[in-house]
Amino acid sequence: MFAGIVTRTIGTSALAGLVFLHGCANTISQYQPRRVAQGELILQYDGAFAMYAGGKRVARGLTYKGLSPFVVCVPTAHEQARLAERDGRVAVGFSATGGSLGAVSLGLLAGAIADGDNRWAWLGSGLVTATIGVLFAGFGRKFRNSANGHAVDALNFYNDSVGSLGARCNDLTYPAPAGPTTPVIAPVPSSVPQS
Amino acid sequence: MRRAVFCPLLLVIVAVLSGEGCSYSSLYVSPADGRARTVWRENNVVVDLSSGLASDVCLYQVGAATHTSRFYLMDERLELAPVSSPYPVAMLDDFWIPVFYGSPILASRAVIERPAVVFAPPRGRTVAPPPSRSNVASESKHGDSESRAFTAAAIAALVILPIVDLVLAINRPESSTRSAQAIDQVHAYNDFARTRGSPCSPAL
Repeated sequence: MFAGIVTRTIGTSALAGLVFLHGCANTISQYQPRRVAQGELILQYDGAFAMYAGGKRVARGLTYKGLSPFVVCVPTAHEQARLAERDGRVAVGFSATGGSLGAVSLGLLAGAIADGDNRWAWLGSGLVTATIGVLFAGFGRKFRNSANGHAVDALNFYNDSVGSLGARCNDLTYPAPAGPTTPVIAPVPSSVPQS
Repeated sequence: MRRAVFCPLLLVIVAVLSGEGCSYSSLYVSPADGRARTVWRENNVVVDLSSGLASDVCLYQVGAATHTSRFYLMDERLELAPVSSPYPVAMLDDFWIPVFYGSPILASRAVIERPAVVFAPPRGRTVAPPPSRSNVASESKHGDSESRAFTAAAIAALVILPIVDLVLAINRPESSTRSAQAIDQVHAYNDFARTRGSPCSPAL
């Protein structure tokens, strides 16, 4: 009875887990921007958020190492980049710990199967270990979100002040504006094209 | 004794899984300068046109260039019919020289505050009403247990929890499809906005 319950539960849970993971398939960004200002940070996605400037990768999630020195001249962006790097490291640590505890609890389940006399000791230890693992993995996911959000904010703050305006932190030379104020233009008719 | 151990564990798990949805609240607010951006909202990136209000023609061209028809904007979701022939955007040999309007930018001012510039004048936009959102509901059940059922529940929990563990540790919280599409749409929009004569560029 015990082995049967374990087998059926493992099979069902593993299938559900695989479906969940597969349902979140890795879609990557494919459009390559063609009109990019020098120093402008470009966001891409290839399973994680990545940032490029001048055709070279500056940083990639989760840790976003290299982002804060790139945006150092914009204090708000620099602060957000530091938070992204910090939260990314925390996320990696928490997720790795949570996953490891999950694996350990599966080992404790094997002990419960093998040692019938002390089954509840094994089960109790396994439940506590697995619960702590879920806590770590859950917080790892939260910090992963936070790291990505801070990184996107850093990119936007930096581009607003420097990147999209044609300058870089190591060369704060801006082009001249095309005019002091925006020109007046006629409204564009919103006709729907025939496909 | 068993219930005294089991019930708090269940409460902790429910608290974690419900609290897992706690999202990072971005403080970033885009200026109304006409340059599209990806901004972070509720654990995903969305498209912010930043008052570069785009006509239907422009959005259709962006969809054609990125092979997408669904736009996740700041306050709405759009579903547009695809078009087959995107407006051509030539690749530059060198970097794009920004065209913006405002005061000349001095380096000392730029690094402290965001300069007040506009990339493109705002224009009117009429867009089809967004499609209705579908909500996904979920249900869960708990059952009372006798000793045998309690044992089975403990075993099941010990099997399920590690898998939940691993899924939470491995799976990405953001939607890869939404993220990739929003990023592509922002890039395409800016390319069009920076190409004279395109559907998204101001007619100067």
